Amino acid sequence: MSKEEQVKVEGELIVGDQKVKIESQKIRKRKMSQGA
Amino acid sequence: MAFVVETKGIGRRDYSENIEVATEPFIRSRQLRFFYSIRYTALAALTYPNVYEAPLAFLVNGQLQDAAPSTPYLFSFLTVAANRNALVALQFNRYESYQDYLNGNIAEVLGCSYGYEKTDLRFTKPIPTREGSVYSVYIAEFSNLAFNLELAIHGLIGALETLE
Repeated sequence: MSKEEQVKVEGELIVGDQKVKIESQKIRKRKMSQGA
Repeated sequence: MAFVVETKGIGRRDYSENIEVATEPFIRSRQLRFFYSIRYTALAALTYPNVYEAPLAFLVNGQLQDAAPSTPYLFSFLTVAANRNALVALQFNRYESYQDYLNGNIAEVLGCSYGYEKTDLRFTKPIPTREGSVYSVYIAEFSNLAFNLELAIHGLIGALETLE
């Protein structure tokens, strides 16, 4: 299982008239799929 | 519900009267737009085929969650952009569960695209989410330098409108 890393981001999800800020995200390193 | 045009007089029926009422569409469901955007700064350098994977979030009752909700999100456009002319990659993935996401067991690769500085995935027929599935993107810039990326995703939420 690849290691998870918490990174700071500037983001938002807008659904209709609702807006939620996204300030961090857990990302992980992977390898591009074979044949992609 | 059928609209009945009242018959008046004799001869051929005249449907021109109230025709705007007879053809008014009856909207059975309502769609919302969604717009997801994330700016990543100073991500550590990558070399192909290494990428970063980020899970996508869904909004349910004001809270973000990883699993797709019962009301489908219809993905129509995903784009990733760097701030220099380097090769970038974008891949859109579906997992059956969060555990599969952790283990990297992709159920479906829904799209994959490469480009210089910017690349995108456009679906003329939007991709609906399946309830409980986890969706993610692979994103990368292959410049061997720390990099910034902007990810944006557009789509609709809800069933397609049924007109009657």
